[in-house]
Amino acid sequence: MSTARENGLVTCRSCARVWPIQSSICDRCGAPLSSRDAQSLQRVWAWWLAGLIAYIPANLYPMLITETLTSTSDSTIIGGAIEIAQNGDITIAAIVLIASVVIPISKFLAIAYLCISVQRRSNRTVLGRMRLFEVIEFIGRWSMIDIFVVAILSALVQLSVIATIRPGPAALAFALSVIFTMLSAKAFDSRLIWDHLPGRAAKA
Amino acid sequence: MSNIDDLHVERAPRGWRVSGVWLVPLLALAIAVGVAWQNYANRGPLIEVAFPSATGVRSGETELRYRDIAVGQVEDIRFSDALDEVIVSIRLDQGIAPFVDDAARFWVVRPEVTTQGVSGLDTVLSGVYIEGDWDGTVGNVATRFVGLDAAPLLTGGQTGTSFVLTSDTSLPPAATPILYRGVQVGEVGEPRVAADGQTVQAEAVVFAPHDQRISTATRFWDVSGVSFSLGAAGASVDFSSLASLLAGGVAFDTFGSGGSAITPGREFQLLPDESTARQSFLIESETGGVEFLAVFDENLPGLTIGSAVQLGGVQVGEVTSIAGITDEARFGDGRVRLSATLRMVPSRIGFTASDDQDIDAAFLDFIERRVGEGLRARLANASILTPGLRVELVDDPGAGDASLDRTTDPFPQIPTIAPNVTDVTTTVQDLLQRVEALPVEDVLRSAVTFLDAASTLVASADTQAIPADVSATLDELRGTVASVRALVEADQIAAIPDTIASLSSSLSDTASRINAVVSDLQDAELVSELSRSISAIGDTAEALPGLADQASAVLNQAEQLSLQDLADRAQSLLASGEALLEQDSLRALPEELNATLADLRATLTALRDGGLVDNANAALASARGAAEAVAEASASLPELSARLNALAGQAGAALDDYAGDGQVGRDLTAALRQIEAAATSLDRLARQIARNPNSILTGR
Repeated sequence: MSTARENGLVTCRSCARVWPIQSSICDRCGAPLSSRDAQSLQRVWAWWLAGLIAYIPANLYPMLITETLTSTSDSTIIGGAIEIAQNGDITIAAIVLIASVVIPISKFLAIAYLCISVQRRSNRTVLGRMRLFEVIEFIGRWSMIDIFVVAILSALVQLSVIATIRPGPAALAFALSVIFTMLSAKAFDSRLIWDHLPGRAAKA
Repeated sequence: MSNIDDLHVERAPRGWRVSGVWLVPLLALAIAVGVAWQNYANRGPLIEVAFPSATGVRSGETELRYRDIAVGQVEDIRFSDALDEVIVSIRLDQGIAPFVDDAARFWVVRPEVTTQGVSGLDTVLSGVYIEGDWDGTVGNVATRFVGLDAAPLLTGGQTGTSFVLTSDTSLPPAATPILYRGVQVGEVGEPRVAADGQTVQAEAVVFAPHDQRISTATRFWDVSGVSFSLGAAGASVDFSSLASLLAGGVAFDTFGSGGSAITPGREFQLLPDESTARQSFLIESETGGVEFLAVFDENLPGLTIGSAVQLGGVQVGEVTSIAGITDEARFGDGRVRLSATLRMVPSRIGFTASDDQDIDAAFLDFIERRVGEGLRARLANASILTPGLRVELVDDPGAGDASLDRTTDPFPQIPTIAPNVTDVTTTVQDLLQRVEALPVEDVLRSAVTFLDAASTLVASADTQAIPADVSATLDELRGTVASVRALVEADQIAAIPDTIASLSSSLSDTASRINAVVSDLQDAELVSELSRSISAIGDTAEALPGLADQASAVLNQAEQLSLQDLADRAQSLLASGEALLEQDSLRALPEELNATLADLRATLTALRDGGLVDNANAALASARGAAEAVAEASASLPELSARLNALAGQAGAALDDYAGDGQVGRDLTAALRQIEAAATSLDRLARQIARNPNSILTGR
């Protein structure tokens, strides 16, 4: 098994056509070609950090501000999940927790693991890491489910003084965090995973 | 492959170039740090307010408001160390924090429903909030405060004058309006019992600019509810307005202009009504006042501080303090006596002086003098209806020697006498007992019996028969009248007029006869002759004494015989006339005549229809003719009488010489008077004279 690079080829990441490694521009779609993106890890870390920064206020500030006739309550993500769980809806609480806490944190951890493993030129579980990366890419968009819920509730529940739901500052932060992590995952050049396979290194 | 390596090597330095994406996390970090710093920098100080309880206060939610604008939020609620208070931590806004100095006040606003209305209604939905009040100047920094139980009277920059209302009885509830001429200008706070337990007090405030009206001369009175008073002037029901009737109120007025500005916290007594307030002002406002002590032997209830002191019916002061005293050494027994301090205002009874000391001394001297004359203090009923008492200064002439004791401490003591107190309760009870004792039931029973008897009487057959009897009597009467009428209409009665007619004609004849006799008498000149004879006798008697003796003898004879006889006869005639008059039949005549006249009247009434009237008229006409004849005859009688008078006079003169026997004279005089008067017997006398004219002289 060998990589395209080892065979002197480069793949266009836009249209998947393979060109000789010297080519710098894809003649079919016009996209720039590079065998490995040297700045990939930099950008991954940069987005990752931005996403992490955004994630902190997303959990500290309230996500939803609910104003009813008699009271105003605001709840953070975790506080809201706990409240729901205390009300008996364990399933919904679990969904909220998974979507808003487990998945984002898992993403941070997974991206960090991928980058570190690449930087350390690790050659273990290459296939596993490749699948992990694919899962991250796939699941990233579903993290926005929280934001959708907030957006829908805020749009629907506008009953003047009786009951009003407004998005809290955490909604924006959370959305930014999700966006940043998606960008972070996008910036990762998955081809780097394959560069330090033991077989190839031994062959080289 | 070298190409590839070259490429790789060649591109490696490019990979270490710093990516522009790093700007994103840097920006995010910058924003986060910036926001955090801003939050921290703008965060105001945390203050702690202690409340006895924190009903409805929630951390993170409850706001601190100043003039209804949120200026802070409760961050934390916890207990004090001793668990006796709730300490609320409030995060103040940066801008307002400097003004929250040590003079700031905090209270919890909750919904309240009182007689004055509903307040804090918005807190029903939004939850309670903490209201803060502070002024616009920066003062000493403070972070610990003690919250108020209720909203202070002056808030949010309101200005006004606060003072304390006190009362011995009760005060209106919190938030009662203070009214001036019916307009609310202030408010009464929550009443509380004073520290000494004797009075109730309440903070009260009058807002600017009305607080200018408050001075030391101001009096407050209660206008809550209805006041009903029953006095000498009648009964009166008084209430200020419907609103104050329901919700209560406190009114005030400033009497007079002498008051000075008050200091905050001054106490005013809440008086029961306006008249009391005026009275209170009159007494209190007058400067001076001399205080006396009066010890009453009877410790009667009803005398209070402020009870009136009257002198001659005029209130001159009031009772300023009351105490009970026992002093066995002084009074000789252990009874509790009532010691009252009386404050009297000399100017109330016209004492005026430039210097207060002078007037007081003068008043003291005055009272001392009056006490020497018998002035004493005593307790008396303030009113017939109420049990209150007053102190009266009255003159008691029967009082023993006493004097104003100037040595007693602290005031001179006025001697007292037994009270003039009527126990109203006793009196009323007595009255009721008397009313009860009245034999009302007996009277009623008698009345019922009487009415029963009357009813029976009216219903009895005898009473019913009375009208029938009366009717019968009237019938009988009617029958009598009818028989009388029948009698009148009888023939014999009808003949009476004829008889009268004949009587009249005979009367007429008699009259003409008398006339003739009188004419004869005149023709005969008997009287002149007689007169002459008597004169001759006189002449002869003077000239011839012998003849006088003879004449005397003759006259003696005449005296003894003729005249005596004549007198006797006249006397007997008169006696018989008298006897005739004394007869019973004659006496009965008036009655008969009366009866006859009555009959006659009835008869005449009956006769009016018949021809009898004409007959009667005719008969009366003839009677009138007869009467005229009589009158004609009578016309000559005076002359005859005159002559007889003259004769009698001459005879009198002649007989004076012989007036030895008084009896004869008297009889003669009486006889002559009878002759003159007895016109009815003229007929007989004339006839006798006609028969024998010379018999008077001759006696034969």
